[in-house]
Amino acid sequence: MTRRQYLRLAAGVVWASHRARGSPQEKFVVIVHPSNQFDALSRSKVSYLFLRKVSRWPWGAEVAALDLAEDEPIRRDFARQVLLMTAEQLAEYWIDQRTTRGVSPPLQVRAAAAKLWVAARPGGIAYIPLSALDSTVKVLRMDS
Amino acid sequence: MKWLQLKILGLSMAVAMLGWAQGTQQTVDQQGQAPPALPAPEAAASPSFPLEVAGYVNFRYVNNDAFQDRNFYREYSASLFLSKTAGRWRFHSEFNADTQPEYDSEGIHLFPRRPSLSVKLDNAFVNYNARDWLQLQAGFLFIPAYWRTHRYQSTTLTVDEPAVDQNVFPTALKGGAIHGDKYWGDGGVSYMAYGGVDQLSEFQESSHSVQTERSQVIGGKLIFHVPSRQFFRTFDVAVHRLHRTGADDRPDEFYGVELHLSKSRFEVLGEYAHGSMNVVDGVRSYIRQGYYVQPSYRITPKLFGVVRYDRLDRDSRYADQNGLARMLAGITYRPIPAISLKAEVNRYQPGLARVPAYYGVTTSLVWFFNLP
Repeated sequence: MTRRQYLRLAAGVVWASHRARGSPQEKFVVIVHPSNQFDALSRSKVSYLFLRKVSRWPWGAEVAALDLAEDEPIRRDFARQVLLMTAEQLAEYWIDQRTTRGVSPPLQVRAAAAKLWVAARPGGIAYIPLSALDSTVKVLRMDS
Repeated sequence: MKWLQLKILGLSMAVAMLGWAQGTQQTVDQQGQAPPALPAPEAAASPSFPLEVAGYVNFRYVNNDAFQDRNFYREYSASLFLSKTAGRWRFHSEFNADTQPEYDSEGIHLFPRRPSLSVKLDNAFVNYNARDWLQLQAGFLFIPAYWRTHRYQSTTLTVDEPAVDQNVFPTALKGGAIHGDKYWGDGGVSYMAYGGVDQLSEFQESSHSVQTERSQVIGGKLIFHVPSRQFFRTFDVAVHRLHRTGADDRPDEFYGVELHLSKSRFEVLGEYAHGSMNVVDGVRSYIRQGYYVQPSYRITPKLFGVVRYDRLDRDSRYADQNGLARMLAGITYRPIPAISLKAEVNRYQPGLARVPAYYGVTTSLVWFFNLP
């Protein structure tokens, strides 16, 4: 190979790796039961629901939040963007809650199970990949 | 107090039995329910075991110039947390075993304390959630000072607690509380009003100890979760007030302020506590007060650096004999969130240089677990 070909190959590798890093990650949506009276909530209020700081919806239904399994790709994004925590900080938060208040974290399930769960329970709330969304659940918009 | 201790233990067992029965009922209910057949999220306990179980095991090693007969000691301790949530009811308890009872916190001892072992109930309460902003609690409760509430070795970044912890505000009470939280936007308020009988069996004055087991305490705490438009992850400011009346009818008045600030990798904790002791006709006999400031930085996701300055003046009448200042620098390594390895260096400065400053090294290994 000539020097020019080496340079082209190197430039191609750099461009490809940059594309790979910059490729958009899968987006998530927060979902609730179709009967839920809210269409939108602020980010902080959504975080209170998942962190079990708020236990009931205003109309009395018990908040039944679900988390995704730790190996689900969107879990870290959800924790960082909505809960403003890293995965490590979230784990530490739940250790603190277990010891000080006796409050356990939400169950961790797969995205498909989370959607079925929310569709079946009026107080349910979870987050799933945008690609898994269908009409059995309602999207809860998040205002910043 | 024996009858009260027995009542609390009996209450704990009754709630555990209630939890067992409720857990069985939930399993039956879920079998008849539409899919998905997941357990209720509020009942994370395994259907085969009715309680949520968590705990930690801690090993601590202290090497300190202050001990004259032995300049080091080892401590093994473990806590077991049993909890159960059933609808609006929640039960939570902590049992603790410790091989160094002389440095231990107050609790309800389950067996007579031995020189090398104590086993005790550290807290046990039932909580009823009428609303998030209106909850009732009864049982054996901690006084809600920040470090007392969050003192567990699996979450603290330091091995040693600040000197102000347990030395100004009382530690725990047998009684009840009304508490709650209300959030608006990214801010809010939490409150707690409590009353009962002080658990602290004796209170160390400068030269003697005073029996306080039958003292009545009443107090309140208000926490402001200051909105910061997401600039801070946590910005909490708290004020705390407590009134204690002992058998001698000379009340003690306490107040405290707290700060908890976190942003990205930084965190700052601070507490100031002040006690006016033996107040008669508005005149106090002496003051007991202390404070600490503890900044920390998360160097990597698994490694923390922490420093702390803390100071305690046990008796304003003899400040040169009863004051202590301490500086601490340490690191905490958490390979996984459930395991903490801590090491810290301490410099102790007794009041007004009555004795020369001395140094100490403290290390600990903590393992947190939970079932299921």
